[in-house]
Amino acid sequence: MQRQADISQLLLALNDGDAQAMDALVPLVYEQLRKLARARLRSERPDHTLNTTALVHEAYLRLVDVNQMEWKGRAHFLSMAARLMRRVLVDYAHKRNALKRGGGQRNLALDEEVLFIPKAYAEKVTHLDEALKRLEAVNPRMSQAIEQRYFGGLTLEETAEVLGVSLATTKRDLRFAQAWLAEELGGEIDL
Amino acid sequence: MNERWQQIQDLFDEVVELDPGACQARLEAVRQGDPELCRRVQSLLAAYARRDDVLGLFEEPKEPLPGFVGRQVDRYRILKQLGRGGMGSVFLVQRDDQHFKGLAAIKLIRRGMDTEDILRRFRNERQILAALNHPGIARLLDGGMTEEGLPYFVMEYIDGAPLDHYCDQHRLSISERLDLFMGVCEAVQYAHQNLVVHRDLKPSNILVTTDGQVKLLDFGIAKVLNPVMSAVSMAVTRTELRVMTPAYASPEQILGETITTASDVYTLGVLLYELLTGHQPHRLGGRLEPELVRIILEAEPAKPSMVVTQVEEIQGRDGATSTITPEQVSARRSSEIKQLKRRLRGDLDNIVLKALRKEPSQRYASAEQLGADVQRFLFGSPILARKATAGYRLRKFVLRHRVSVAAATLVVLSLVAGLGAALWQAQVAQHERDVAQQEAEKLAQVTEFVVSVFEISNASESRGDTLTALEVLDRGAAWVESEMMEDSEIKAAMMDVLGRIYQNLGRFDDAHAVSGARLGLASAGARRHPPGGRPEPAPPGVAPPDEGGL
Repeated sequence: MQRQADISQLLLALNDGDAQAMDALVPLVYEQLRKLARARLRSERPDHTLNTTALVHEAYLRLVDVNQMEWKGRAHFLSMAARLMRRVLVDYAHKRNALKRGGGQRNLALDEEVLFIPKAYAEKVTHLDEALKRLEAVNPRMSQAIEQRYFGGLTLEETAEVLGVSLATTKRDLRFAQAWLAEELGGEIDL
Repeated sequence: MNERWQQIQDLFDEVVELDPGACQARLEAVRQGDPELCRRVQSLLAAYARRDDVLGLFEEPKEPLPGFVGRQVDRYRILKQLGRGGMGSVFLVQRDDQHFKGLAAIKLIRRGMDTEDILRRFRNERQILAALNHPGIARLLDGGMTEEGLPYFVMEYIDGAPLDHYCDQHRLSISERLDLFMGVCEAVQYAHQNLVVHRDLKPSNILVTTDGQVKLLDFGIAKVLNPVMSAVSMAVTRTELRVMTPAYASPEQILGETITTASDVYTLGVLLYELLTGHQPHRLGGRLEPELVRIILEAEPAKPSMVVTQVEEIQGRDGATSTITPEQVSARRSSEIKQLKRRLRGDLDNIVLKALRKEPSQRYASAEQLGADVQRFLFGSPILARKATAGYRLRKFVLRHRVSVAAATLVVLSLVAGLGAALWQAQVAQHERDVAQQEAEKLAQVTEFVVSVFEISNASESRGDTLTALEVLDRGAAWVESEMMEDSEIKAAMMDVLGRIYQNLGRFDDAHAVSGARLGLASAGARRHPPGGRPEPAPPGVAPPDEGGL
């Protein structure tokens, strides 16, 4: 219960632009993530890959009871979630990229679940994140739209609401942003 | 910098919607004056075309198979193509040797899969799968590898239509659909008992033969083809197979958790939802992966009884849109929309939603349980899905103990009214709008109390019972009079119901002296409409089996 109140506070602070709130929230989501990941690992075969995006979503959902929040609106809440999830995923991806060994071995003391993130996935996430940062420098609204859709899983309507623009504008934003990102990333990732 | 960006975006926005000819022309015109702008936009257009590959969205494998018809694959001669799915194509084959004469179906797995791996897993599973011997399951006969190294499976050939088409074509009613559905549950249960989980149930995998027999295809194949069931991921490489169909995937499948029989139950829930309503529980068409994940993990499906009244536009795989309307849905179920809604409301709603719970442990534990509840519904017995409220048991009790329940009904109503107008509205309108959790709980408590009171009164169809009912009725009526001072809508409605109950009880003995006030109530019975504007409900005790409210 106490935890819920803390998290609510942090999220509100985050919404008000408090960058430090993000720093405080990430470890909480992490903790939840690791619990989930560990539970998964116990029942999985060694060649199984964790679905990272879904895990982050679930961790987030378990942390916060969306309905309990006094919030501007569900969409705004979710947009915070999207930011948070992006951050967590990118952190995980960095860790994964830093690992020299390949998957299959489970003898790291900390963050062992990181090993189960596919290498290709981790690379993709970091590249996307960097490209998004570049996009943000020229068109923050587009960058945010992508963040909402790809990291938060917000619907088109929710995204439009959060950005404060029409649905048509959001669609155009996303379309162009997708093209722009595909251009940036196309040369780097070979799927 | 900003202006330039805007220029680029504007031009991109303009040409991306044009057909290739017009687009070319426009860009050519631009190139004359500003070659750099043209180049930029061309590059963006090209990138946009490839965005699915780069950004990792869901994709259908588009590669065509080489011409297989007429060829020989091991002992099987390919006669014609039957269909095509995500993992490969199905062909009709003929086998003609001393062991087996006749037709079969061969499923050729598409290029790009790890053949050795598949075959290895197949060998492990083969015995189990081949041992599945049930009229509702298409038998797996054989498996192997073609010359080109494509894995294949040979199955019993089933001549039938996919379940959803069959039901629609024959305009099967709800009961008839439920009947077929129970057959599906039975087959699934059999497989589960033999430790085989389907993992990829969907209407196209369930055929119905001309004599109305349900046949499930591809049991266990999904596991052989891909043990990694978490196919929803942003960076899934091309070679990883997306066996799972998102629309039918359970939350735990999305999350990559252990697949259990409960996962099949979920899928059966999706199937049932579709069979009953013509809609899918979640609108997933054309959405990005993270959105899909969220929806499947979070979003609660609309109640079947509600969704049938909606008009929905769906996008087919080829991009064409079609519309689902209430008229269409009810016609295909040989019903009228109002009738259909009534039939679905209450028990069926709950059965479907229970199967679709996000938490596996909250669903039916087995396909058998699900089928059994469907059967109970068809018989008018209380179903499992409504486990909590005593009020529900009470309602079912109505069917069998008419007289006594009249009193209980009244008491419930009066207590409900006592909890506030809002609660009364909620009680009456419970199928028109969502009951707030708190209120629902209060209501549950109230009905618990009532049932206990009622049980103490010793319900049975004896004279003593009628006596008790009248007493209870009197008490209730007195309560309404005293507690409800103002002449409110609620009070009027209460009196209306009271009157009707008294009428129903019918007998006003001297021995059980009914006061003038009561008689007055009785005659005033038919005057007013109940709140919510619903057509007058049948008197309690003769409510039809699927009537939702008390």
